[in-house]
Amino acid sequence: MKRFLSNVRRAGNNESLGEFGKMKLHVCSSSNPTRQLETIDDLPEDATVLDLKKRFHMKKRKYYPSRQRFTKFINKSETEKEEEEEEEKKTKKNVFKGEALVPDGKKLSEFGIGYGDVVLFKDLGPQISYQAVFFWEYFGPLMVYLPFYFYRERIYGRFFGFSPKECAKPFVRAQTLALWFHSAHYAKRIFETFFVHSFSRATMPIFNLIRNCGYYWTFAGLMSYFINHPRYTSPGDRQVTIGFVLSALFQLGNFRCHVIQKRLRSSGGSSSSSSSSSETKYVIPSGFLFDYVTCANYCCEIYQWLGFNIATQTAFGYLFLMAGMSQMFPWAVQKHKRLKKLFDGTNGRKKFKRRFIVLPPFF
Amino acid sequence: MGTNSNNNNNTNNNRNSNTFSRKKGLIHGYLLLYNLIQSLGWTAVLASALRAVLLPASSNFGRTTNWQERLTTVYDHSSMFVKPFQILSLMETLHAVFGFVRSPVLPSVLQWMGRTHVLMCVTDSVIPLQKTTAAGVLILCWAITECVRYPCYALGILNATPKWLLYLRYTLFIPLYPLGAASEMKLMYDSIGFVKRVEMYYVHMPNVLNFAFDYSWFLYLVLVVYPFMFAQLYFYMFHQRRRKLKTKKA
Repeated sequence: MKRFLSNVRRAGNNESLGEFGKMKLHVCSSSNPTRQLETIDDLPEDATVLDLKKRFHMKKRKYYPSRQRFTKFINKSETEKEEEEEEEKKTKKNVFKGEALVPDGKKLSEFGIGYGDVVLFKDLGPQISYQAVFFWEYFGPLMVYLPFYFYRERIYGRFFGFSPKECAKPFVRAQTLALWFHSAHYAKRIFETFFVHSFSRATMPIFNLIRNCGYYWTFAGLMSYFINHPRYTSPGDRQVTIGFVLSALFQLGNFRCHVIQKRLRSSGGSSSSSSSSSETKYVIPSGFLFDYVTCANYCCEIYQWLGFNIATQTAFGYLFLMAGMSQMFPWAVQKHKRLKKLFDGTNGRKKFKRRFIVLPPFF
Repeated sequence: MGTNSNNNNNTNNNRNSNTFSRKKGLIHGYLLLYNLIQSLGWTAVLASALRAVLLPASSNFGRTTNWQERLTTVYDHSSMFVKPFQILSLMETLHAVFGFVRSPVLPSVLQWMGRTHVLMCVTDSVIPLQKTTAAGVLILCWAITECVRYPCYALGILNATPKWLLYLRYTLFIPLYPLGAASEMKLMYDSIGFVKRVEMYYVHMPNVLNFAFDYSWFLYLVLVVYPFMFAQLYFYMFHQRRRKLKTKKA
């Protein structure tokens, strides 16, 4: 009886009552909610977001599930709408867009969506899996670095116009070691992509592939060009040794951090898009450097590249380090804030201890 | 680039404490002063440029000349005004950094760098380029847009922007922006031969930082990227135009 009444309450003026246990949804465009795209009327009452996506994919073959993004629709009365249009112009946010329907495993009813409701659809564009992106953005630098070392005469001699005698100069210790370190670093990253990392999201827009690959490949090429240059000036022997020792230590440290983080995920840590749990279970990483630094993995990464640059001493190497830091710092601050907010010591949760954010002893 | 597309001088005002409104008043006063100074400066640029174009007799010993020849004299007349005020416009980036104005930092700094690079590194360093029509067109485009933009900002602080000024600001860019961008590209392209010959701004290896810089390659790169950046900004200005002129009429 209760279910019958709730169906009556939810059904709009023009909706006829559907069968028990079924859900009917209108899918409209999130950029223009007056434009209706599809009606999906064979969803079970306890359908999840993923079920909705699969049904939508069956009706519109172009939009495979990972490309779909649904948000809740907020229906406002006319007067409220006008007030909010002013607001909208100032903040540029769409006022009728509610919360996003993520993760996929969550039930539609948990969002408060009922029979006859409208959901908004947005096309995220062609998607590519995280693993594929990571692979190509790390495989490229590995490959791009090599020609400058192994085809020196052809590149510096024929293409850039340095004399063959200069190009035939033997390599300095720093240059050979740099080759090994650079290649080992990216080989390690590729290994981690397939065997260590577990990704909380399955895909990303394909534009990111081009952007990320451009960044990594260009810097790898530039660093390689200057390190393997016939006129490369190596820093002193001791500096080279210290630099590479530091780099090796922190590379190993970085690997250990990633393994620790992976173990967090597999033991029920962060959210997974295909998991059935609707809660985001964050766990404070602990052990090794995580007790002192929130983002110990970024810390090791930064110091590892610093070691590499101390050993090779190129302007573009340091530029690459700066670029990496400028990206990692905001991420680290966000993560630190998130964990601090979540673990505030109340409700039996642990209190997030004060620690460095990403770069001890500075920050 | 030709026009600055930032939406400046919209500080928010929803707190009531005395110190805050005093600080806000100070900031507004300072911004008003800055925009006034720039308005005067760019008026000087425009005046000198127009003098070169409209009254050539005074600078050409009474010879009658055609428009192209007159444009080639513009840089000589205006450079002493353009250089300080264009460099001074770096302050606008700092205003964005310190939050005096609500506009993003990165586009502001990129635009300043683009313009100042063309002015100082390309045109000022390569003397033959100063006597080209492209340089003249460039100065005139910049001067006209800035003479409308800065008074617009200044009056905006006082909330006294006349409709016609706003209309000018968001309409003049339509011809001037492409003209300005085209002249910038032409100047950069013409400078490449000279740059290669004298190896201007080149950095050679070996050096302690293992760094090398080939300015002609840099210019080629900028020339390739320029149309895309220009298109982006141009369409953004149209979008702004629709927003600003629509609300004024409504």
